Amino acid sequence: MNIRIIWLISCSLLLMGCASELKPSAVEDVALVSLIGIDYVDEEDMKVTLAIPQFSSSTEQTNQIYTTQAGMIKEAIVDLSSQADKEIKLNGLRVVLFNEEFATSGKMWEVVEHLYRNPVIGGNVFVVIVKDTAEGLLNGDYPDKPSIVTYMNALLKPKPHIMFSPFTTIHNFMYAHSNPVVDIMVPYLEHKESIVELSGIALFKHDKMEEVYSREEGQIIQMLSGVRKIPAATIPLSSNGEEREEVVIDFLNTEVDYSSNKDVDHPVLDITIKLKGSIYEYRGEKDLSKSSEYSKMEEEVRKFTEEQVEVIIDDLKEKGIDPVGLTENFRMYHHGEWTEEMDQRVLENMEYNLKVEMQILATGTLR
Amino acid sequence: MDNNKLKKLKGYHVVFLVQNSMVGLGLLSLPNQLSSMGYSQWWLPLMLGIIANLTLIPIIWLFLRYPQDNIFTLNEKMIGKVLGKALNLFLVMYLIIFIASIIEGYLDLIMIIALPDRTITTPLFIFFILLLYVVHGGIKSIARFCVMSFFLTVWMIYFLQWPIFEGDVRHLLPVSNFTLEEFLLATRNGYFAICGYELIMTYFPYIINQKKAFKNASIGIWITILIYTGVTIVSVMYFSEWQMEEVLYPILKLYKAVELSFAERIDVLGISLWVFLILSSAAAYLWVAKKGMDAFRSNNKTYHVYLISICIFIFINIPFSKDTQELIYDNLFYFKFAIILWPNFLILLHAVKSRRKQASS
Repeated sequence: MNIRIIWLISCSLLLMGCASELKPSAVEDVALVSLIGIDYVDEEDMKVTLAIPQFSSSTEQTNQIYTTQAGMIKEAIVDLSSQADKEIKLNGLRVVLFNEEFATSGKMWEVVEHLYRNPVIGGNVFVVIVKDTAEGLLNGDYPDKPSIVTYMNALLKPKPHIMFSPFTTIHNFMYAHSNPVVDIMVPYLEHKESIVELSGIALFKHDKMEEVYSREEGQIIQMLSGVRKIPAATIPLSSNGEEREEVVIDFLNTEVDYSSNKDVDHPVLDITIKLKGSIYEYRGEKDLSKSSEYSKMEEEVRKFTEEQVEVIIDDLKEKGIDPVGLTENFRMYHHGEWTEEMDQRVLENMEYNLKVEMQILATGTLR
Repeated sequence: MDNNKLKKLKGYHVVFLVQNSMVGLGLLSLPNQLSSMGYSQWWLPLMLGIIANLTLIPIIWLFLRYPQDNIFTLNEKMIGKVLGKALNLFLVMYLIIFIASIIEGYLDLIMIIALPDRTITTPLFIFFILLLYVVHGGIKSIARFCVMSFFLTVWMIYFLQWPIFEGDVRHLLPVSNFTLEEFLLATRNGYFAICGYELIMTYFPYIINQKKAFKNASIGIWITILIYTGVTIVSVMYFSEWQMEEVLYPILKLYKAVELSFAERIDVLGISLWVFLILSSAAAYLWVAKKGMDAFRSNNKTYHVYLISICIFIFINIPFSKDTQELIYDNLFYFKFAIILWPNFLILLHAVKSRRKQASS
């Protein structure tokens, strides 16, 4: 009995520690940054824009936007704290936006690494690239959207029809940056008047952004990366003058299989892509109820896809960019260190045999 | 209660005592500790498990011959009273430093991740009160606490499925892509996470069914090893080699990958629940240190445990420079390994003694 009382007293004594001078901030005194925009200024400095959602309805604006120029993120936050009404915290960060100029300057990974290091930042923070300026995008007027914060969050949520985009998180970015086998790819946004559009994907070579691929090209890269569900695609089958024949295929399942010859000096890679899809829409002369024409169409779609994939792989090889990680199939059989130079060499010398299998499962409920 | 009986540990108590005193801080940074082997590290925990199981054999063999003794009393019996007591004092000092290193490592982590704007003194106090409460009930209370903390934390493995989806299985190949030096370094660093099962040398006399102790302890070891292997495989899939070298607590990054619609920052939940694992292994070590103190003073006093706690508390609060700290904690490994191999030496003495006895009779 005695000992219990002593325990109780000593425990309650400790509660006094809760009233020490080191008071943590209350929720209403904290401004949780949701979006950070980073624009290129010069070699040393960058322009940092923070977007903070406002939950009280006392003001007209739904967000607070702060902008400053600084050399590092933390510096910018300390600087902006002297303007803000609340304590700025990064705990609620969702998206980091970089402008294209910043991405091509090759400093992007330094900023991402800083965020990756910071323990209060969650793992699923998205990284995107903005065509003009991130500041312009964050300050933009979107009359039919609740606010830029919710808009960006909703836009970057993976949905079936936008699966051409890779949705790179901070972890994915650091992973690709530090892994010699893969190169970084990041969604590419364009700010158009009162909307923001996911218009393609940005490809990096080492630290620097090199290329912007369109949505269709992005879709093929996603297919090669092994994403199972990719969005529907319009496939033009033939166009002689006025009469166009085209079909919209909804891909139900895609599978990609690699097998390499394990030889680093004469690399050969076999790529097999298995596609299953159903026809969404069709414009043309074929009578799809006939099995011969049906399979002809299947073959035409298959051929078209194969050509497209070939164009992409050749283009990637030529530029020396590998966002898919094709060389991983050689690394996994290689003993010793796998260096950046080796990876580049394997990619350049690599021959590949592409095989696409297409299966159209259904044509909808109408004939 | 069965406080007065000596034998009070059932089979499952032994399983979880062994299992939980192994999983402490080690698991948090395991993939990072093994990172010198790169992607090939994923099977190393299995090998470490085999080593652990092999070193367990002489321990159990020896104590089956001295079923009433723990390592401290046995030391005095085997190598003489003075030498034995000196060794025991040394062991107690080592245990104090070791417990301090566990607690300090964990509280540093808490400070970095969960409570970045506070000092660690208050959490440290609360931690010690809980620790003393658990140890106060004796070995059976610790064993029960171990069972509880196992079931409170083991479900966290479920969260590893997110990193598995994002990871690349191809990283598991090639299996043997390392040099001998890298392998030895990884084994050395990794073994630190495996240590803890040797505490059975102290609570062995309390086990009811000592014949089955080897089997139960082995089950405990292999539960831990399976968890370790799972975590390292997932880390190898999810991270690049650079990340495994640079990220200090890979488990937390794995938890950060979790996407739930109703909760965020699973890593904070994970690191807070981890207190159970730290408490249970620290409690087991503290109880062992207390037993050592008992043997050294040749009596059984409750205040020994407080004395040791105060020593640990002081040791944590000594402001060592980072270099000294690293030097001390790094060299702890060699003591640890020496302790695990110590029973082999005692077996040798035992053989010599029994031969002499036979010769004289």
